Amino acid sequence: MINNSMFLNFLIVTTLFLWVSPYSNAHQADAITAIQWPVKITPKMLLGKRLFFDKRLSKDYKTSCASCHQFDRGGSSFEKRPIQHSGKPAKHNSTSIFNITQNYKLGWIGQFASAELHLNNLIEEKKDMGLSWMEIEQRINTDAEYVKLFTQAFTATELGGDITRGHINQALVTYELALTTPSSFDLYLQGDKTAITEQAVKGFELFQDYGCVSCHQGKNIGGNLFQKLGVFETYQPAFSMEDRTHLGRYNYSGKAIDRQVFRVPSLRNVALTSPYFHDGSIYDLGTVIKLMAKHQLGRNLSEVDIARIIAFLQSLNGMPHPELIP
Amino acid sequence: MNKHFKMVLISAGFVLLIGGLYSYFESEKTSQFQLNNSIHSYVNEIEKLDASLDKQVLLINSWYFSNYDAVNQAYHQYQRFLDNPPYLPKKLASVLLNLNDQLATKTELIEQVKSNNAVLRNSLNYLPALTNKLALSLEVAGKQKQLTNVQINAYKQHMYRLVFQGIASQLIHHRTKKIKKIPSLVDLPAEAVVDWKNFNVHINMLIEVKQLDKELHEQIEQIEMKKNIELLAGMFSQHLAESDQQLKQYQSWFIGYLFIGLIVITAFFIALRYYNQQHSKYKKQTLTDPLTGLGNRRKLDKAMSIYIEQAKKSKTIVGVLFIDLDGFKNVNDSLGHKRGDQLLVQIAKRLESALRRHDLITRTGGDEFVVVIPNANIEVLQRIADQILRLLTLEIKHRDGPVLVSASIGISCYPTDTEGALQLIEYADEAMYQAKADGKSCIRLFMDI
Repeated sequence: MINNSMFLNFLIVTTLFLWVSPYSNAHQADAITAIQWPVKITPKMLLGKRLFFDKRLSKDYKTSCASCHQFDRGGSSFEKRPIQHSGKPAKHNSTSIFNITQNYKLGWIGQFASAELHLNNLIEEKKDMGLSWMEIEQRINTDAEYVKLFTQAFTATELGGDITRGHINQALVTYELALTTPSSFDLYLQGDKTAITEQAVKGFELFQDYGCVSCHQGKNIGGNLFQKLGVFETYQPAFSMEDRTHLGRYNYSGKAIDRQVFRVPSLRNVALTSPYFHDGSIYDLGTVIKLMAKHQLGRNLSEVDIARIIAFLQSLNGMPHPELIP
Repeated sequence: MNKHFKMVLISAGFVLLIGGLYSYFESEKTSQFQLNNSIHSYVNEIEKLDASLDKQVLLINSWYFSNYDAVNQAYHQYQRFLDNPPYLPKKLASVLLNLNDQLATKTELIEQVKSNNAVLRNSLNYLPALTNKLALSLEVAGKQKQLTNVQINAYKQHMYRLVFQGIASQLIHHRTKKIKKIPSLVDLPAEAVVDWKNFNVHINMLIEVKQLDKELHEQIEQIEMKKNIELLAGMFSQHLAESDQQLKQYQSWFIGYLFIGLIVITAFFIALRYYNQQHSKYKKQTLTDPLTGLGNRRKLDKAMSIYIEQAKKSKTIVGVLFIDLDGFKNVNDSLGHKRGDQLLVQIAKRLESALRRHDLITRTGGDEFVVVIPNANIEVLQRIADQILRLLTLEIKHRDGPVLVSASIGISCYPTDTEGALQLIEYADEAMYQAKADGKSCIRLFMDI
């Protein structure tokens, strides 16, 4: 009887292993890939940097892009939901401006197909900065220094006559796309085993074992797919009837299947981007990890494991190229 | 010389025209060729991108999967390529719109596949460890005599059966009919109960997600982008054939039009020339005397003013000789009109032989001739008149005896007599009458009477 069951045991475990191995392969190699700083800093990037930090792009001369995307906050904001020009809070907690890629949708619910569209949308709605493209074009065209910088960054045929919204958009987006933040973990991935602490290495193993890496993968450790918030256990944040942010991508697509679906955020610089979640409701990283494990993975984590994972996540902190920071 | 030059010019024009047309058709051909080439490479590229996206979607469920960046990259390239087509003919553009729509629905499904796949991977990753943990805790419970071997076996069998069900439910289902019902949770040790429940949750999730994955892939397969791409390629080759034919047709039409145009232009020129010829012939007829071929009175009137003008410019003398035949009526009466006409022709010839090339001889009446002599002086006029008189003094033999013909000549001179053209002829006429009155066959100057 026992022999029989042992054989069955062996058979089943072997079969299961064979079945599972293609999937578990993802958790072994290449799930996360390293990133680099841009190879060459172009005049267009530097022009974009100037625009990014320029408060003259707002109506009251008080807001710039960097107001919601703060560089000491991992490209995000310390506010739950940044207050807009209109005085109302924004729909979502601001996502990081670092490590955005051109090949996937942006925003918490993937509402922007590209960085250009994000910028266009932001200015056309006039909520955040309070200025229209026309006014911005006017302000920039009357500034001699900007005119000089634009003529340096663009060729004569590209520029044509005046500086237009297209040129401003292009310069800003070029700059934003150049804001990659390689970290000590990237060195670890590239073979330097001492680049991160032992605690962090253990944290990375746990990160894979627990299955966080199922969603948080790719070069930005997330940010490249959608997932329902609350796979194993429904996530019910406090919400009011007017505020339907918790419905996630449903607000954008209107499809029942998109309820509570959000874009999986990138975990690069995650230790700096508190508060967390789409509504900025949670400030503590440990709590977030616990909640994620519970709702997304159907697991309960011990405090020790959480501390290790935090150590791993802290090893993901990095800064953009020194020439691109203020 | 002039005519040859014209011919060369016309033929050079023809060569240029044909050369221009030829080069126009050639450039049209090459531009169409380039356009078609760009469309061709575009269609090819779409095929490649579609295949690479399909490959990446299949890779999601495979051994070689690493992360979702590759799928996103493939999709992004595909989308960007569809968004920036070259100039396409209308038919192809509509297929491209279809492709765009299809890609949009496909990506939505791919997004679902991705999220689903992440959950699937998570459960599959967790389950081996979980089953192992459960088996261990069951064995520990066995050692501590909390469970009998039979109970442990039942739990294990149930557990593995669920795992297999998660992988291939149908085959197991057939066997499960023989297997005993699910062992109750009551017997399990407390720490294993949590894992047991968790195991059930993950297994159920696995089954659900696997089923969904299968459905999603089926849905993706139903979006027949390949068919549309093939349609695009087929339409493109059709378009190629059509445009080729069209170009040829245009070419032949154009050459046809060119020939018709040339014929019309040639006909026009021929007609114009014929008209001109007719016109000048008529003009000449009105100015000549049909019998002798000399100018008539109209010609004299016309030419007179021109001679006077020229003389006025060059300050020379123009002489007018008015000649009237004496005894011409006799010729007609006795010899007949036919002979008279012959005589007139003969006299005209004689006059022509006596005069210079630039002098004008006209027959203004039946037997009246007027001769205009430019660049003359009185002596020359007198001499010419003498010669004419001599030449026109004839004796025609006849059976009734000879018929005598002579001439009376009146001379007037510009500008000494008058400056008016018509008056000059009148004065010469008057001088001639004087000559007649003075006994015929003599010369009278107007200035002398």
